[in-house]
Amino acid sequence: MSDQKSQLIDHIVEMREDEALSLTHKMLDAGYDPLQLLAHCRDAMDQVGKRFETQEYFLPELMMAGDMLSQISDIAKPLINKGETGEQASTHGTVVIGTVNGDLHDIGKDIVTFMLEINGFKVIDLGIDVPVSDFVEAIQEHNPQVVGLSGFLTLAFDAMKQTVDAIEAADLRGQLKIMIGGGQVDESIKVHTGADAFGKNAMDAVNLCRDWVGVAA
Amino acid sequence: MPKVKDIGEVSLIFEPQEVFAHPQAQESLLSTAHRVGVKINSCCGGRGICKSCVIRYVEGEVPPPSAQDNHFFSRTKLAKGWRRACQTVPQHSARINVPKRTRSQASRLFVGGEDIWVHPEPLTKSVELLLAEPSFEDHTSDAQRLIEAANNVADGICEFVDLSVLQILPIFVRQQNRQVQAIIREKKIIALLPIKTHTLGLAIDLGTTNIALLLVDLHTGSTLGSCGIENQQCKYGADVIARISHAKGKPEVLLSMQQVVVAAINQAAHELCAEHALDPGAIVDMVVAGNTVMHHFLLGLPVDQLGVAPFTAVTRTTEDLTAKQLGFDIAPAAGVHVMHNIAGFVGGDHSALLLGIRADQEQRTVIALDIGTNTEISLIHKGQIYCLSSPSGPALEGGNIHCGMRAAEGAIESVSVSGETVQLQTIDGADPIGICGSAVLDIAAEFYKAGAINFRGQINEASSFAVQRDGMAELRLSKAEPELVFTQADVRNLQLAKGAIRAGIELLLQQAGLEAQMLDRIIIAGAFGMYIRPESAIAIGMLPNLPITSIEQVGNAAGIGVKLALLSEPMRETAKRLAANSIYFEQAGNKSFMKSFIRQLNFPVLVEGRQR
Repeated sequence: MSDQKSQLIDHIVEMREDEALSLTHKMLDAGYDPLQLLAHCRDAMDQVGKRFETQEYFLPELMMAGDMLSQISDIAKPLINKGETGEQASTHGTVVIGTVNGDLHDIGKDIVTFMLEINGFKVIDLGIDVPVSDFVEAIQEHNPQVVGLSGFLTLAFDAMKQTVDAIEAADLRGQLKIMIGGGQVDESIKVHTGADAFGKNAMDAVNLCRDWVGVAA
Repeated sequence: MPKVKDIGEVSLIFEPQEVFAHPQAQESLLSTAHRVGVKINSCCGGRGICKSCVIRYVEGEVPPPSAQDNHFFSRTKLAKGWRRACQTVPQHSARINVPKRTRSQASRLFVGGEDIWVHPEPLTKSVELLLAEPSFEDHTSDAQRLIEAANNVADGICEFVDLSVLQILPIFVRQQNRQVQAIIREKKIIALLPIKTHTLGLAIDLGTTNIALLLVDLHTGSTLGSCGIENQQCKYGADVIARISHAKGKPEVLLSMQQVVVAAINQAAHELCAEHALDPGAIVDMVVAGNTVMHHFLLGLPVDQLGVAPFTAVTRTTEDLTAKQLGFDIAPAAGVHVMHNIAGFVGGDHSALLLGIRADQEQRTVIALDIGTNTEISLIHKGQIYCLSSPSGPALEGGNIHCGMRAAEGAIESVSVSGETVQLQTIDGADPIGICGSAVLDIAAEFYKAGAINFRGQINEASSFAVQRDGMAELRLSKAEPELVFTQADVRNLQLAKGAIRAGIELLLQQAGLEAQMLDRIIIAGAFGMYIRPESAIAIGMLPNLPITSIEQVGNAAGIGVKLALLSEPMRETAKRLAANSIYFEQAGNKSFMKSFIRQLNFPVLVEGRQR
């Protein structure tokens, strides 16, 4: 059993998609607990994330790992008995994230989403070119602890500011923290936009969120 | 040598030009230098990413290094006064040395001379006239006599005289003893020149970084002279996005963007004419090609919308303008044709390129690309042109590369690795002082083949070429001062650049229902494209794996296109059609482009077939 577990983790971490998927089937067919299996996947993702941090892996590996995870989830989830909520119970908090209005860059945002998810956050990804009002609505709906605004173009900084202003105008600012990231953000951009903090990379984002929700690293 | 004194007000002296400056509050050394006209390169636009603006404090109190510089330089270097100009805010008077590499200008301005022959059919006609002498019996005006004389040469050729010509007409005609050369365009006399002199045209390739000028004889079609200058807008930002954000919502900045370009072209055109003993007033037609942002700046059009999705241009086309309207100091009524844009990020320069390679006559299936910060790519297939602009970033121009520099003397331009040795070739054979774009491709390809970089782009710590710095492996190219290395981040930036280009090619092929192996030819245009080794481009997967012989490096095809459009009215019409009929794809926000892009970041697998 534990041999299968380490094999599965190994397949995912080493980007052996076919092997990972066929082992998933094999394990589940033999009655392996799907919640357990998904927990192994998260362990594997954690290792992938670490390899990304140490520059061993780059974007293609993150994407492939993400693909594998979603395929395995699709296989495993129907087998989870209703009432078992192993997954939600483990989230540290909710983050609403999106690339601001007028900007179409999503790589950075996708990496942050990935890293937050493997670090136990529930992420609501609003996508790219997100209108200000969508952020406000998503905050009202999901009640996040953190909002992440992404933008690569220098011109996105104004859209970030508008988004921050709108969140404030909707009287939602008090309950959450806002972080910005992407391209050339720095302290002065943080001040300009009125955000609480900025991050230079995905790990910064994870650490900010951990700090804010009070999770030890 | 004047001494530096700290007397309350901060004063700086820049070596070796010995230029004095008083920095303004909170101004970076880079901005101060640019304000007073000291040339300091800034490949990344002052964002603290590259190394192109390194300077050294040689006298005076050295300001503490910024957090970024602290990480960037070794302790010894910091102690010796090395800083980056963009990261340094001067607080005390000092003498600052601007090293050669930091002020080097790109020596590879590619301005042509690549004469291709086209039957000249300019938009202007020139006729030599002898005007009837005025007398008491003949009360016709000077203008009327001019028009009549022209119509005597060719009936119906002429109906009007431009105001600028009228304003000099009486004096000029009498000076020339009533023998003049009239330049006619669309039934209007737009200029008068002495007989038996050249009628000139100016072809301009208006690049984001450099501007190339070609002075052409409109009758013979021959190039009389050419030169390249730096685009003075650089001081407002290295790339188009930086300049858009600078000009956004500020009409006065927009105006100065226009003025600095026009002034620079005027100066260069006048110098070019002086060199060849020609009169700038004899320039009676002009064609300019630039990307859409350069196009907008030249015409003083607001650029705000070009910077945000969906990147809407004010206009793709304009009717021909006059030199006077735009402030060009040539014949005032000379026409100025600005080549038509294809889309927000595929501009008139690409229309010019398509004309330059005669895409209208292309029978084969061809990819044509011009590599730069944005790489415009066209697929020509069965009479149809599909195009896009791919965000390849500045890495291939030496920007965002730790030891990157422009293609200038001392830049490593190509690299080969055999066994344990790294061979460097520098521009002009000078001692290596930095790495330019063409070498970036070689470094990745050669070290990948040598096993010092794996297919994921990770530097192999165990490789004999790798050294450790701050826990990260980097590849050492040269031990001598200045030490030159290629970092893990450099490899990543190169991967992003080449991945974007390849993904662009793949997206176009996919749209046309083709596969890479069905391509007959890949045409690499542009100055940068001239100097790369196609083998390296293929080895790292920037280009599909086609036989080397099917890759053609054609140089400044856009420059050729501008010249064709200048010399020949039918060619100009062809270019307009090419621009109008090209099918543009927006890659930004396109999910399939993103997936393909990420997949293309890895290097093509050499042995095992694990990568899909």
